[in-house]
Amino acid sequence: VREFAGFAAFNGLALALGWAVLFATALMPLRAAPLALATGAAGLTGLALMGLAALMAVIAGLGMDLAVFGPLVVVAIAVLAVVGRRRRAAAEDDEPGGARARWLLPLLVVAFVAIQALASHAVPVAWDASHIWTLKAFALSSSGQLDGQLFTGGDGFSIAHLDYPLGWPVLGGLLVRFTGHADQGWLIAELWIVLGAAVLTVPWLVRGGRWAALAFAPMILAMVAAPSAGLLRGDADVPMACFAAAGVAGLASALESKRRGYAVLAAIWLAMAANMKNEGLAFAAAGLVAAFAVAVAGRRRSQILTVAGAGVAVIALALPWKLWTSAHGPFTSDVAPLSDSLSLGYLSDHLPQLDLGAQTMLGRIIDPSAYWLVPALLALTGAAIAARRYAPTAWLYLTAFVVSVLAVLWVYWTSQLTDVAGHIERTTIRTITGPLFIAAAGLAHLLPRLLGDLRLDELAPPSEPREEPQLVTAAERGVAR
Amino acid sequence: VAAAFLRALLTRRVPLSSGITLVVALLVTLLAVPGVWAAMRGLDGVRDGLKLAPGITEREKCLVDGGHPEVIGVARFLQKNVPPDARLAVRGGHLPEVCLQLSLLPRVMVKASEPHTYTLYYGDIPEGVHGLAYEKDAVLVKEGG
Repeated sequence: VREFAGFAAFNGLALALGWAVLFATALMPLRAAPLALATGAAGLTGLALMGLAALMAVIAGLGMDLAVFGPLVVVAIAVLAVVGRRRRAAAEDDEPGGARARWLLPLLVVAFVAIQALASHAVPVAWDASHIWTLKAFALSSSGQLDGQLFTGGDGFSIAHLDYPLGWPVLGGLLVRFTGHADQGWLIAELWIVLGAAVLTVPWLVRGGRWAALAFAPMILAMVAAPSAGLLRGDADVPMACFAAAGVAGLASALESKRRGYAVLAAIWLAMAANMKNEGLAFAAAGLVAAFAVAVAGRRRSQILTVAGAGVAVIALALPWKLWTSAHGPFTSDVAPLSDSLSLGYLSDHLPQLDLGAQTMLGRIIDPSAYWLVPALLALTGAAIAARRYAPTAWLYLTAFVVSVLAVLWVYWTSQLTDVAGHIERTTIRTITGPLFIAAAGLAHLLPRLLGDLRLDELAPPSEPREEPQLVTAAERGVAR
Repeated sequence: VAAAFLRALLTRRVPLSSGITLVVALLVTLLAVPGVWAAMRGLDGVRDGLKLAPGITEREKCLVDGGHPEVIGVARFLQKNVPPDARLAVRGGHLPEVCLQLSLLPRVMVKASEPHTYTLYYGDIPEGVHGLAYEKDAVLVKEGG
């Protein structure tokens, strides 16, 4: 009971913090229905903020004392609530809509996550988790400091990948402090919650329109795709992918709706992704580069500044860990030094690695267990760009996806590991997770929009008035009102 | 979506971009339900594959998976004889130190050059080292004691 109460308190605090952020950024009015529909986004935001705050405290050597951390979060919620009262959410945020699917599908996602979390309570610590993620989470839960060979290095500790970012171990360590018991079951349950929250977040970001419920389908497919099973092994790839995909969708929503609140959420989520894995930093950069290019192409100064602001925030929050590893390293890394990886001679010598990496990644992408999410994204973005419907949004997701894949391929191309083939074979099932989730988010964003744009109204009952193609988003209509 | 797709196909020429959108919508919708069902079974399979061998704890699985079941005895010996707030240095033979650290938490493993409260000598024990012995493999020495 004590452990469950701690687990509930941890997630309840994160949820309240997330709701407060959504309220303060004028993305959600303080009413029951919008509050409930924003649960996923709020949970993801609160967990990211708590994780980032704890990470910064740990890096600064302040530890993560619950007696300090808990009250600080409560104060932050109060301050955000005061800020929120001065602002007002747009009108459409107050309209949860009557479609049953808007409630049914989130409830199905919640039920799936709950069943999986309960079924995973006795899962033991798998190989990577026992060397990296869970090990560091348990260590941080007890000391709260980056102390000992596990963090500062030693003969046999390079296998613990000391350069890997600590976002997930810190969040996990904080959770362990709340539950009072270092148990892998609670960590896995938390990973399921992050996954479920991300699945709910993207449809919430792109809400509005007749086909809004369809946004759940690709996110559900991403949730049940083969790479997501890595969650049971306690790896950080799935939560990193969740934050990265939500961040890219947040940027796309910010540019589409011109509401800066979405950029605030995107910055928080992308910063968490960047602090969860080294790939997360690359995927966050991919999303920001894509959004910046779209904003520049649109020649709107406010949008360029919005994306630039999000980028600065992500860099500022990713930098402390890089500085810490730089000060305490050098640590053995999977990534080749730039002096090698930018050398033309080195790159041409290692071309077979690029070929193998590309083939293996492609195999993962078209594997039926990935549910054709990537080919579907490529087809849909191609269609959107060709038809000039939501083309900027399509370009953003397409660019973010392509740059993410290229970043992974570049690491494989320049890898200095002796068994590169084995490394690629073993790791692509995990490294594909981020691009796969970004593809799912792109589909979730574009499908309802493009379907709403099609002239299918002849199928509607004759009494209904004919609708014009939806050239502006529901969010824009709300602002116009 | 399916009805719209069929209707559009049968009654009119569909622009390529609209056709692609309809096909993708149909595809993801049709795949979602069987996908959830398949995942339920697949995830059960992953959980079954991670089950513990009899007689070992969750944190000892790492030692078994890494091919060092013989170190489980050393880990249990240290858990019994080293207090939770201790800082432990290891000297000597090859130990899977990362897995050992997981077993020993909250005890912190540190370099021998850093301040520590206990030292574990493992493998070839140097002459003159006296402390609590574990079989012939290891000797635990309390520093300053």
